[in-house]
Amino acid sequence: MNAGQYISGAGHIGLIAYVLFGGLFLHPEEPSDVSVQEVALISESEYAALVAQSTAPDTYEVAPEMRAPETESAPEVSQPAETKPSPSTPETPPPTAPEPKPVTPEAVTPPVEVQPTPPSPQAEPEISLEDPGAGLPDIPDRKPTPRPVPRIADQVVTAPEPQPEISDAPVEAANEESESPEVVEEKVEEAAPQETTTEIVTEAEKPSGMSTSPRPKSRPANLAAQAAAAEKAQETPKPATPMAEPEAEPKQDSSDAVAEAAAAAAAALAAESVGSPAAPERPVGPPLTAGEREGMRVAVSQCWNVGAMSTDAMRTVITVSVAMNEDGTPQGGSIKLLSHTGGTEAGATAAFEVARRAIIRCGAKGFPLPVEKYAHWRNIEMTFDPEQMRFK
Amino acid sequence: MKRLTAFACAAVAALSLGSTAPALAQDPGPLKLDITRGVIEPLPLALPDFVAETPQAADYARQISEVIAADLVGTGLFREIPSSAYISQVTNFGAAVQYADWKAINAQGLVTGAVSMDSAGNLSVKFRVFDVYAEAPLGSGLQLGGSTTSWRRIAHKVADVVYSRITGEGGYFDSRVVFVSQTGPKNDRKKRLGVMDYDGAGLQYLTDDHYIVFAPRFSPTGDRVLYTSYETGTPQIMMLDVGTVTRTRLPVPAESVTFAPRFSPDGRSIVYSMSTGSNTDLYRMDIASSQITRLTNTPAIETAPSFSPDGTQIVFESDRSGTQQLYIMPAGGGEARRISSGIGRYGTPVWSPRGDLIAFTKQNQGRFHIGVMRTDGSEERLLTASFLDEGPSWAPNGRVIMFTRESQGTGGESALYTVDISGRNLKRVPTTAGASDPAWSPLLK
Repeated sequence: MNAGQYISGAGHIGLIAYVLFGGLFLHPEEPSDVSVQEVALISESEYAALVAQSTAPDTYEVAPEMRAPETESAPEVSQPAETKPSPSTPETPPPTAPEPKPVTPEAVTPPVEVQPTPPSPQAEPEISLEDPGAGLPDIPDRKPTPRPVPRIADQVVTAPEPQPEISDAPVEAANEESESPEVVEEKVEEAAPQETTTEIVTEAEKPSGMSTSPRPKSRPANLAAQAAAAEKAQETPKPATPMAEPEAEPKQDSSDAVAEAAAAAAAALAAESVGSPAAPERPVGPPLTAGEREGMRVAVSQCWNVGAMSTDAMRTVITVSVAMNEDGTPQGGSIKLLSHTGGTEAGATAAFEVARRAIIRCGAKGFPLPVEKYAHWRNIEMTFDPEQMRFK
Repeated sequence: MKRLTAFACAAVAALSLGSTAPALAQDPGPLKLDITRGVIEPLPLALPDFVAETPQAADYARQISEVIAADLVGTGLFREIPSSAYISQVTNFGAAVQYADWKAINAQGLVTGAVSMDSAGNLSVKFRVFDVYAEAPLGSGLQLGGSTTSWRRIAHKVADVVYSRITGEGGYFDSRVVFVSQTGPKNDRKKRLGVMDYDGAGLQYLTDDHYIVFAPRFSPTGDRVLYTSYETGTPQIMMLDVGTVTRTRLPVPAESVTFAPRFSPDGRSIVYSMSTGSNTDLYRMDIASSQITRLTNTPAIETAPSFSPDGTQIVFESDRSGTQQLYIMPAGGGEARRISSGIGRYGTPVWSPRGDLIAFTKQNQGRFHIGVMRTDGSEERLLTASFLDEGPSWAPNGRVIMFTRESQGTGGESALYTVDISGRNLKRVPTTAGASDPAWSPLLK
């Protein structure tokens, strides 16, 4: 509470000072413009001619002048600007490799030591965990700072754009913020990675995680065990029990929050690390029910036509593997004969052809399998045993 | 501090879980299913008419296609999809197969072919078999050639290949059947040997009807036939050369009664029954040296011997236990063991070409049956039941049995029937007259 009061007091003082001094600075500018116009009244006709002539050359002159330095500084500015997004996206695979390339020797050292590089992978969960609300004001704090820049250069549009980008560079931003008051420094550190917006999204998803919390509790005992093992390794016994409910209420809240945050972070990390194949790594989900398995078995059985099978094949038990698409259709080229018993090679071949035909034919429109349990039936091994279909 | 601690713990947990994130998404392993029940129904086949690549081959192309379809559908294992349902029309043998079109009509197999005729009148037939749902050919394409007079054999051979590639076992269409043709009333039957294609086509007579003949048996190569004739007044075994239609009597004592002959698998010896006095035993004769070896020596009646495919054993019927039962003994004679154990009388055993089953005739409670059992007598299954079924003979692939069925009454007639060893697809073999005692040849060369 005291800190808050201090912060609010400092903020009010700063705001009052800003209003006072800013008003002073703003007001004189406006009258200065007016005074300049008044000075121009000395010669009316000439003034009009001069104004008309002066504005034209001014614009012509200013434009090439500004463009020239822009082009000169453009390579330097554009490179770090380009490099920033590149390391941010492929952070997980090669965090260090992209950094030395784009960033000059200056950029290399600070990110490793201070925060520019860590904020991308590590600062994200931190910000999201502690103060999600604190991260939000930080982002607008930065934006107002670049906003006045374009105001200063009203006509030159290209100039202000690289400037804020330059300010986004780790070194320059850190310098400016370090010069600014302490409060700004903290905010800048957190606001530096605009990627926190993605984390904010994940935090917004937390309530969904809470709603789905029963699933992880029931299915993966591994989660608790692995989390406990990892936390024990870190010598922090408390977070090992986030899944355990019977504890003190405040501890429960904190532990639940930790567990949820850990789960969210793990999911986010997994999604980021995997990248494109994020789809197949959906939650495993509970195993298929007996009814679902029976439905699949019946579906295949309906097309398993042993009427044209040879007597040798009818004595052969084969095991076939098939990779399934998410829509329940089999991948035709993935059907393979894993093993066979009780018959000859020719019998196994004939039996396999019949089994493959059954899988493809009845799976053409997709087998009745729950999509949410795709991980459980992504690969299927079917054992075709014709013993009960033999001549009797 | 609490928040800081919680934050640190959360960070640690997040990192640790992050490292174990792959474990969360670990593949739980393949779903394992046991399929033990299926369906038994004819496999839908698309059999479009073969393309006639020369104008002279148009009729042959159509007829060959018809025979192929009849062969395959006649097995009961396939169902021909009517051509009116076709989406794609095969007008060019080399054109790519439109699998989607054939899938749309649920054709699981597709046979395409083309027929051409050269200036010398020789037919050339080429064909391919496709697994529609696998979208791949079943084996490579084949080409057969022959004269126009052998177009049926060419068609049978094509059907054999198609059958073999789809079912995984050998065909039996390019084969012949020797049998006893019967004409006239039941009390004055005229009998003579006839030979025909397995489907009844191409009938030829090997003997006249002046003497009673019965129980013909093909040699392993199909070039000779053993049969029993009353030509000498008593039953005697005769050997007939199918190519020249010349016959010779087996060199056995003239006063003896010989019957129920059968070739050994190598075709070098004959096993048969010979009655001396009131006793009937089994004998084996070396064809080249005419040397005779007695295989059994019991007061009972032993008859209907049949070699195992490897020629090491003989199955036969004997009433040494009081009723007709089936026994197996070594091919050189010796201790016989009874394999039939059911109620009723068992006779005319025939060893399957594949060696796994023995077909037999069973009489029980006034009914006759054709049945099969394993060589140890287990898994006996009766395939038919009627007033009189007898004399089973195996198809070359060991999948089909042909036998004689005689209808009841004074006007009863004998006919040939075939049945799948599953007991399904019982059908009559078309013959111009009554027929009995079928013997299936091996596949023709």
